[in-house]
Amino acid sequence: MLEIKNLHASVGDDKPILKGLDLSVPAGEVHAIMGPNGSGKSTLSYVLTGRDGYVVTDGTVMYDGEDVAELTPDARAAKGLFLSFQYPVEIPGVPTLTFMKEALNAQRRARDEAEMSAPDFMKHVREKAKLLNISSDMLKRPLNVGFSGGEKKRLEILQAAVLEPRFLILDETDSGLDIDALKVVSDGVNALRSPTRGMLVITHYQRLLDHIAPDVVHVMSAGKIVASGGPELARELEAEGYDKYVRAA
Amino acid sequence: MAVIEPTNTLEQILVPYKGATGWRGEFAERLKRDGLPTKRDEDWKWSDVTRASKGILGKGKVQFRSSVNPEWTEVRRSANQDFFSSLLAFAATMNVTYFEPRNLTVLDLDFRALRGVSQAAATIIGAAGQSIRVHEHYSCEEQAFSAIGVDYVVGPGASVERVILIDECPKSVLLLSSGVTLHETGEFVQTVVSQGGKLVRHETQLHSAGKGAKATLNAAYLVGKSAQADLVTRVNMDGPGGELSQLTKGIAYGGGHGVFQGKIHVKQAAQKSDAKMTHKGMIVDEKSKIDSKPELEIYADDVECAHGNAIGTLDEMALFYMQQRGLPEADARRLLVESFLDEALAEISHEQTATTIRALISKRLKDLV
Repeated sequence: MLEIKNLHASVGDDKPILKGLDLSVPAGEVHAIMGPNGSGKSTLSYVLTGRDGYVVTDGTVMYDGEDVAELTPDARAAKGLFLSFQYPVEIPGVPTLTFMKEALNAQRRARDEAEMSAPDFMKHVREKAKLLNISSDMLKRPLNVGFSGGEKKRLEILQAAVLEPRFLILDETDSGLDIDALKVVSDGVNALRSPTRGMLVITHYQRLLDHIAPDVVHVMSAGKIVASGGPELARELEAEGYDKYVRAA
Repeated sequence: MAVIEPTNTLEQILVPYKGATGWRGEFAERLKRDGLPTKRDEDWKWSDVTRASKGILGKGKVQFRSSVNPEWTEVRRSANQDFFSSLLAFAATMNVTYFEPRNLTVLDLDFRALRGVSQAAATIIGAAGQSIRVHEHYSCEEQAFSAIGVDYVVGPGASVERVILIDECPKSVLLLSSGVTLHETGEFVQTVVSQGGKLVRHETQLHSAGKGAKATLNAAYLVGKSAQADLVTRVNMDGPGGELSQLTKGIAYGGGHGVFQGKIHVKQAAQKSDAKMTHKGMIVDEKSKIDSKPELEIYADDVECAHGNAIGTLDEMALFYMQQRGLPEADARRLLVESFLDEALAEISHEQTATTIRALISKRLKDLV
């Protein structure tokens, strides 16, 4: 589903961050990427979703058999790529519900699908919100404004549930969450697991992976994948740290 | 043979100010003495009237209509009468007496400046204990240079809400000014929405008597394509215990120029005044600019006064966030700018008016990218 080959990318004009990254995530699988600060994990998430200033200098990013590196962020979103942000952005003046409806219908228009009517949309959101413990009052508030860290992360997962993307990238979704919130968010993510959907979970810590069991764990260091293995690799990293991978890179 | 006409002679401009009293009288005196303001005048340093009005010639007119009298009428002001008889003459033209609009709670005023040099003035009085809402709309023909003053007197316990919508005047100069006299326990809430023009300036001079008097001065400006919008406020806290809340937000794009000049003067007698003034500007591209100068002048020692001023650009991270969720860049930009300006519209109590203004802003912003 996602095939990354020899990916080199820079931030700005001349700051190479990704240096020959290879990664393959088939549909239905959850892959985790762990790695020390500065290894390029967040850069990878921005490169995959097309943030301005993150430039692919070599290699390919194939998503569903199509090279998406030249597409705009919204075109990639319409094709089903979703990024759960490490720091969800506050947007004053735009009610959460309005934003989600605009986003969903913009994606549908881009895919030549009929827009969802207001009553259908409300029904659609209510079902998903209940699972994530999100009140209708919260949905009326401006997007992420004044939300706690946990609320913001729950809202990211709600947006994923509402937009029904085909591939999710979760960038440090566990940061800023207490134990209870981590469970709610993980349950929300697990509910999105499906044989047709792929996921890339970026994290520093093993604890998220106790809730969202990955099929494959990758270690990233200095802009590339330096080791891959099963869930036991995450436990090894938790016990021994990244040191040997950093030195090997 | 071509005839060279003088540009905007002062006489032409001064005619309607004859006999004027108060701040407008002072303004006329100053105009006689110093001529049109220039960039050397601190209050007008970003509003280059002389340059903007160059080439706008001939006697113009201000047309007027209202919800009371929906037919367009030419505004007449008699030059040789005193202020109140002028006011009466004007009120008569509008076929309504604004002194005591007892059975008039909502008033729509529509001013249109026709080609040439023109002036007009009106006064609206919210009598003691009354509550009125006034919507003012301004538009221009091309090549108009018009000065229009609308004064307000807000009596004790009266409540006046004023919403001002200024259309874009691409080839015209519009100088709008307001003197607001706010009595004790009176409340005045103003929201200005300006789309700029060759030069469009809106100035509010407010005197608050304090003792429970509350004033809110909000404004939103959006200027594109070489347009200029100036928002100027001069607030005098004259008596103790008055409240003032001011928020101006604006965006400049495509070569637009926004200006905010705000001054709060707190007299020594105005102890326990509570005044805050905020200006936030957003410059969307490198061709555009925003100038601002917020000032506090405080002569009382027991007051709560603050001002804030921030000028930034479109939040790139927010833009990316919205695009990542599927909104095309143009829609994301528009939504961000709309939401940025929206805060300044929060005090418009009439839902339909607010909706109309929001729709207009949204339409206007379609050419943002």
